[in-house]
Amino acid sequence: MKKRPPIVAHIHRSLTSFTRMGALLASLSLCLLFILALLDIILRLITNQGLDITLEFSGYLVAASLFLGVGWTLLEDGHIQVKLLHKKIPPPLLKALNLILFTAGLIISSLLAYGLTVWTLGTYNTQQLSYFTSQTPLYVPQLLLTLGPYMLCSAFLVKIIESFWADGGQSK
Amino acid sequence: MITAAPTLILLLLCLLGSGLWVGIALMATGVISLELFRDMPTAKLMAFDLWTSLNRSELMALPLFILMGEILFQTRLSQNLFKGLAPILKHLPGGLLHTNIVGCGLFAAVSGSSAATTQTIGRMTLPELEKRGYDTRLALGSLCGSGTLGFLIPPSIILILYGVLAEVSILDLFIAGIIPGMLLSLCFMIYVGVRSYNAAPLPTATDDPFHLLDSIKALLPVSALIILVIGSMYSGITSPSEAAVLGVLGAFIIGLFDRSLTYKTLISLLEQSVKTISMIGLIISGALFLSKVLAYLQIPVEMASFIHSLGLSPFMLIVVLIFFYIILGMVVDGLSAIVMTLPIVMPMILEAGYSPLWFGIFLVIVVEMSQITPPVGFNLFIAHKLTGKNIGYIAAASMPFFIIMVLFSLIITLFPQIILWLPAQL
Repeated sequence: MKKRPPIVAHIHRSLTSFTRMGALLASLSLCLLFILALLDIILRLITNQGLDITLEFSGYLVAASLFLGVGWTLLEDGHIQVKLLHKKIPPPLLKALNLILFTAGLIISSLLAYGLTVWTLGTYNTQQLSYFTSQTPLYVPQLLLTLGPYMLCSAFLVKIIESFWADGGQSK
Repeated sequence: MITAAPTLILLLLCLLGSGLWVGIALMATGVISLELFRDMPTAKLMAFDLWTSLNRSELMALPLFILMGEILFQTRLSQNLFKGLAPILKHLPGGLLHTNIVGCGLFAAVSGSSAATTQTIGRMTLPELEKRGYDTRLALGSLCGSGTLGFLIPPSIILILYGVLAEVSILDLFIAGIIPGMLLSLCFMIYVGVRSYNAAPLPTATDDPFHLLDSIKALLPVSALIILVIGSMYSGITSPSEAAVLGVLGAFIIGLFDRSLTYKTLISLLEQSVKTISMIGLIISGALFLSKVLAYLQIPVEMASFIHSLGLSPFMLIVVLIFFYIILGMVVDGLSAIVMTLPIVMPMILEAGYSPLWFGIFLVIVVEMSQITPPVGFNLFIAHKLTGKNIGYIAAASMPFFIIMVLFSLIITLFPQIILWLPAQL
């Protein structure tokens, strides 16, 4: 079995942990979304008035639960792809195809990560606030969402490392 | 501009065909098209679009209904469904085969996913039907066909997505899905009944020592959950999002009562939920970004005028779309098929004078077929996983149910009131 160089193995481990953290944050957002909405319903039943923050924060939590786990889901093979070509081509070509696909994925997710970083920095610099009563600084939820594409980039890097060192790396 | 539409469609097909993940392929198509045909800050546009697409409280029902389905998947609901339905349905021609159809119909009323419906019901019914000597082909076909009801019978994840993308009321869509869902189930039951009418009686099929009281007791949790989720929505007490919250709570209580929720299962169901939610999240992000790009490139207008120039009658347009979605559904799953085509198809439908509410239900029925058409048919994969039978065999077994769905989609086109009547009454 070909071994990854120690530095690559370390990077691989760190990136995998980072994407797992995304899944954890997405789970947490999902639980918080449920608790927030349930509290709102209970309060409305008792006091006839719900929480002021529900509408605003449920939006942030929906975004977080939808996008923070994308990297981990890629590692778990959970995203949909049309694999017709995969079944038709021989293994060496398949490996090359996968490498191209991972690189394409990395480029698109990097573009998204770059765009979101610039966007969030812009919001931070102008100190934009939400138009709800809480007047939340918008860079906070945007920063959370920005983590999603970075997690996706990490997952693609993990996949590239795994495919590159599967049989072509440093031998033992 | 004349080359924008064909270039974009060709690009999308190539990227999807290469095996690029659907959500990434949609984004990549948008990025490349913008770079080719417009001078715009693509990265900034993507970022803005992702923020506005996902930061929406009306999408709240989506993750919560997925969570509810995952909790129910861990419970003993499917065993109870079979135990409760068997004594009622065993007297019909086709006997316990109907547990597949009615079971899927009932589970679909508490779950928004076709795959979850097929898997939950199938893992209980298939071994029981096999044990009792039922025709494997019919058992598999009825399971795969009825599993698609998860998309149509509310609460449906695909209808929530359609509502958000097409800006149609999710509640109206949920109401509109009821009658077609029940009628389609009835069509499946009639087919199973007719196919089994002259079959030799199965001695083991009627010997089960079931009692009506046990039956009612077994069906109580699912009935209570249906009343809680659907009843609260239709009576106007809750919005679809709030109904999803109640659904999660109800499913959680059922899980606690039948002692199926442990720390381990909780972690597992959260992981599974995040996986499904993220998969959908990436596709929505890609689809909404692409739909914006299409608008920038004025492709919907171009497509609408192209269809107009063909001089197709509204009915012929629907026939063409049925063929189109059947072909697309062979290689793409239903959810992706809807999100990636809606920005292009919707203007044509509006131009032809169809109601977006009607089209939502029609579209869901048409893409339901994609769940049982090879080579990419999720229900086929699930049935394969459950039984180990060949995909081709399962697809052939599902073929009669596929034909029923094609005929049903033509019937709802000829009689749109099947869909539009109930929402108009409530």
